[in-house]
Amino acid sequence: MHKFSALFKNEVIKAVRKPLYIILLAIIVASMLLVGGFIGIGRAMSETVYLSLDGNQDLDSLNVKLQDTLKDVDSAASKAEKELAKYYDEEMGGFKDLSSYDDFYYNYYSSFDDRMYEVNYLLQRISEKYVASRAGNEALNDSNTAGYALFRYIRNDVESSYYSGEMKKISEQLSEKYPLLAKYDDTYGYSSLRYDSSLILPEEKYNEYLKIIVDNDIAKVFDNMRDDIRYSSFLGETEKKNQLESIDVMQSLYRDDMSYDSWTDIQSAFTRLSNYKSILESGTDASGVKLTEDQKAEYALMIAEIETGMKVGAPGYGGKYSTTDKTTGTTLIDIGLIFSQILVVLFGALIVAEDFQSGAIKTLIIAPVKRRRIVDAKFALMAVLCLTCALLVFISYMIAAFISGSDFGTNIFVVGNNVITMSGFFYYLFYVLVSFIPIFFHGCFAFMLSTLFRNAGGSISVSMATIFVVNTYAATFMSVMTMIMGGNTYFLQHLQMFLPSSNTAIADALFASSLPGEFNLGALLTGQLLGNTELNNPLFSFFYLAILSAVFIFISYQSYIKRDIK
Amino acid sequence: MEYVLDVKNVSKYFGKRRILNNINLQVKPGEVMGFIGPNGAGKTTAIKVILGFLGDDGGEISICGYDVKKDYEKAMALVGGIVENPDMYRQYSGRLNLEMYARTHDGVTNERIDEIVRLVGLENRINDKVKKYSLGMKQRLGLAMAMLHRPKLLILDEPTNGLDPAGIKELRDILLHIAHTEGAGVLISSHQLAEMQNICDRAAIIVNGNIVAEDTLDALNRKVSGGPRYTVDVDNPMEAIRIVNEYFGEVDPEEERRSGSCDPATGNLSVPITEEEISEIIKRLALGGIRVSGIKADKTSLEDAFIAITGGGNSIA
Repeated sequence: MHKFSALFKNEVIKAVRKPLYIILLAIIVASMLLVGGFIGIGRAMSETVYLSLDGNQDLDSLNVKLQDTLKDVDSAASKAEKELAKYYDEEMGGFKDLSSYDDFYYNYYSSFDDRMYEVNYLLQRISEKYVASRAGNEALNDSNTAGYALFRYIRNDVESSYYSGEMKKISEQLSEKYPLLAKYDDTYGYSSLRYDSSLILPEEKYNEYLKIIVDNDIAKVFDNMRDDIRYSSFLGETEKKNQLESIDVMQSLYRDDMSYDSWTDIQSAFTRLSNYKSILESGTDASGVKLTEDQKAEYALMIAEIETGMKVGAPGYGGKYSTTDKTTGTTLIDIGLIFSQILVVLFGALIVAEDFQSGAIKTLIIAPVKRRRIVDAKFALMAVLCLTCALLVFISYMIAAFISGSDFGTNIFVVGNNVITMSGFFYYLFYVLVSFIPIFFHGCFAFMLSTLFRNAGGSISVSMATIFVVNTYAATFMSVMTMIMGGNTYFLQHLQMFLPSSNTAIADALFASSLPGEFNLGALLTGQLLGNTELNNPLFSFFYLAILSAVFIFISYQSYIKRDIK
Repeated sequence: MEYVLDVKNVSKYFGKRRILNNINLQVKPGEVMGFIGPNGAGKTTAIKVILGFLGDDGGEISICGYDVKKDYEKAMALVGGIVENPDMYRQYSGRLNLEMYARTHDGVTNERIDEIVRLVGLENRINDKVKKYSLGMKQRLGLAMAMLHRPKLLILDEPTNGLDPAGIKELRDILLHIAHTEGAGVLISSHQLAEMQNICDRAAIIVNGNIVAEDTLDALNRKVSGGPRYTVDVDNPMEAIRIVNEYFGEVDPEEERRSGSCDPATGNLSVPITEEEISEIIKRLALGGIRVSGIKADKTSLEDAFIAITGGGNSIA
C-alpha cells in the first residue's frame, strides 16, 4: 500500500507541475465565472435600456421619423393618385393595357410602396418601445419568473395590436384621401393598404392589456384568456368548455416566484395531456395505427402521471414548486464540462505516453514496484482529477450563478403517484456528478490509447478525434448505415443503441427529460423504472459506459504490464 | 548468497529473431563484471531482461537469491541501474528526480540524497532542471539514482558515455569503492575497452546473443595469447630469443611450451611471461651478455582478447 501511495504522490507532483493542466483548470473556473458575469451584465443592461426608455426619448424620435415618412407617403400617394387617373379605366375597373400598368407601377406606385414599408418598420419599432417603456422595466426586473412568460405573451399581443391598429388607421386615412389608389389596390388584391383585421384588437381591449402589464395584474391575464376563448369563432362548445377548465387549473397552479421553465412545463403539460387523451379516446396513434393494449396502458399511465402532477402543482417535472432556473444553470455547468472533458482526455492521453516519450519510464520500471501498481496510481489520479474537476465546476457554478443573478431554487419530480421535491443545490450537484460519468469514460479511452501507442501525439490526436469528431459524425455514420441496411430497423436501432456517442448524454437524459413515463432523475430516486420505452435510457447508458470503461481499463493494464519496454 | 546476480539459460526473441541464446551470467558480491560485445550482440537486451523491461523467453534470473519472477519487488529493491541513456524527467530538477525515485524505495533519507549528490559531484547543480544538464551531468545523476538506495547489484549500461577523462576516473573510483569496500556486485557494459581493463575484475564477452567467454581478465588474456606479454628492449634480439626459449624449455611442459618473438621493425623482444618471471628473465639475459634497456607490460591485451574471440570483424561496442 505504501508503494501505491509513493507512486500516487509522484504522479500528483508531476500533474501539479504541468502548466497545461493548471491552465485548463483555470479556464474551467474563468469561463464559467465569465459567462455568469456576462449573463448578469446582460440582465442588468436590459433593465437599464428599458429604464432609459421611460424618458421616451427614443420613442419621440421614432415618432418624428414616422411623421416625416407619412408626409413622404402622402406626396407619393398623391402623385400616384394623379397618374393613376390617366392609366386607369374606371369603366373597365382596371388598366387600359398591360404596358400602362408597368409604367404606372415602376414610375409611381413603387415609390409609394417603399415608403409604406418604412412606415411598417417604424410602427413595429414604436409598438415595441411603447410597450417596453411602460411595462418592460417592471417585468424584466423579474425576468426569471413566470410573470415574464406571461408578460411576453401579452406584450406580443399588445405590440401586434398597437402596430396593426396604427396601420389600420393610416390605411383608412389613405383610402379616404386617395379613393382611386384604394380601389386599385382592391382590384388587384394588393395588401399594401389593407391589413388583416383579425390582428387588430378593439381599442378598449388594447388599453386593458396595457393596464394589465403596467399593474402586473396576472389575474386579469387569465380573465382575458377566458374572454379570448369564450368569444372565439373557431372553437366548438366542447372545446371551449375544456379549454376554460384548463385555464382554471393553470391559474390555480400559477405562482409569482415560479420559474420560466416551470411555467412552460405547465403549458406543455396541458398540450401533452390533451394529446394523450385524444389518442386514447380515438384508440389510434398520430399516424392512425391502432394502439395495442400495452400502448393503451402506457398512455393511461402517462395521463395519470400528468394529472397527479396537476394535483400537487407539478404537471411537468417543473411545476408549482420548481423555481430552478434550469436554463442558466445547465448553460453555466456545460461550459465547465466542455473544458473538464478536454482536461481529462488530455490527462489520460498523456499520463502513460509522456513517461515513454521522455524515457522516464525507465526510472519507474527499475523501481521495486510492480507495473500493476504504477497503473493503479495513474488511474487513481485520473479518477481524483475527475472528482476535482466536478467539485471545481460545482463551486464555480455556485459563484457564477450568484454573479448572474440566478439561484438554486427547488425542483419537483412526479413519477407515477410519487412526488419528490429536491433542492436546487442537490439537483445541480447531482447533475455535475452524473455529467462526469461520460467524461471519466472518455478519460479511460484516452488512457487505453496512451498505453497502446506510448506516444503523446498519437494518443492525443486519436482520442480527441474519436471523442470530438467521430461523435459529431455518428449521425452521418448512421445515415450511411441506413442506406446500406435499408429497412432492417431492428439492426439499425440496435446499432444506434450501442454507439458510445448515443450513450454519453446521461445527464441530459436524466435531467432535461420532462416527458411523463420516461426514465429520469425522479424515477431513479424512487426506484421506478417504468415506461423505459427509449432504447438509450440513462440506466442502460450508465451500465453500457461502465462495461466499456472496464474493458478499456482491462486493456490498459494488460498493455502496460505485459508488453516489453524496448 | 553466492551471487548477487545469477542468470541461467536465459533466452529472448524479438518476433522470430533470437536475440539472447541461453545466456549464463553470474556476478559475485564485491566484484566488477565487464559485459562486452560488438553492436547488436545483445548487451542492452540482456540488461533489459535482467531489469524487467523485457520479458524473457525461458530461463531463470535471480538477484541476491530472489527469483525475479516470484519476488519481483524484493529482487528489484536490491538493484540499481542505468539502461542506455540516463533518461529522467527533463522538466524537473535533479533533486526532484532523485526524491521521486527515492520515494519508491524504503529507507532513503534526505541525508542519503545529499550524500549521494556529493559523491557524484553534482551538489552545485542539483537544483537545476535536468534539461539544462550536459550528457556527463546526466550520467552522474543517473549514477546517483542507481546508487541511491545502496543496491547490492549495480547494473550500468555504457556509463562512461559523455564523461570526460576526469569523470571516467571518478566513475572508476566510485565503482571500485562500491564493489571492493561496500561489497556490491557491479555489472558494467562499455565500449571503452581500456577503461574496462582498469575497472573490471572479470568480463563476459557476448557475440550474437551467445556468451562466448566469461573469466578473469588474466584468464581471458591467457586464452588469447597464453597469458600476459611484456616487451623488452634489448641490443641483440636473436641471442635474447634463444636465451628466453631456453628458459621456456626448462619450465614449460613440451606441449604447452611458450616462445618469444621479435618485432623486426623495432628489434624489440616480446615475451609471454607473468610478473613473477620478470626478474628471472632479466637475470638470464644479463648473464648471457644482453643489455636490457627497458621492459614494459603490453596493455592492449583485453582488446586483443575481445578481437580474437569475436573474430575482430565487428566494431567494438
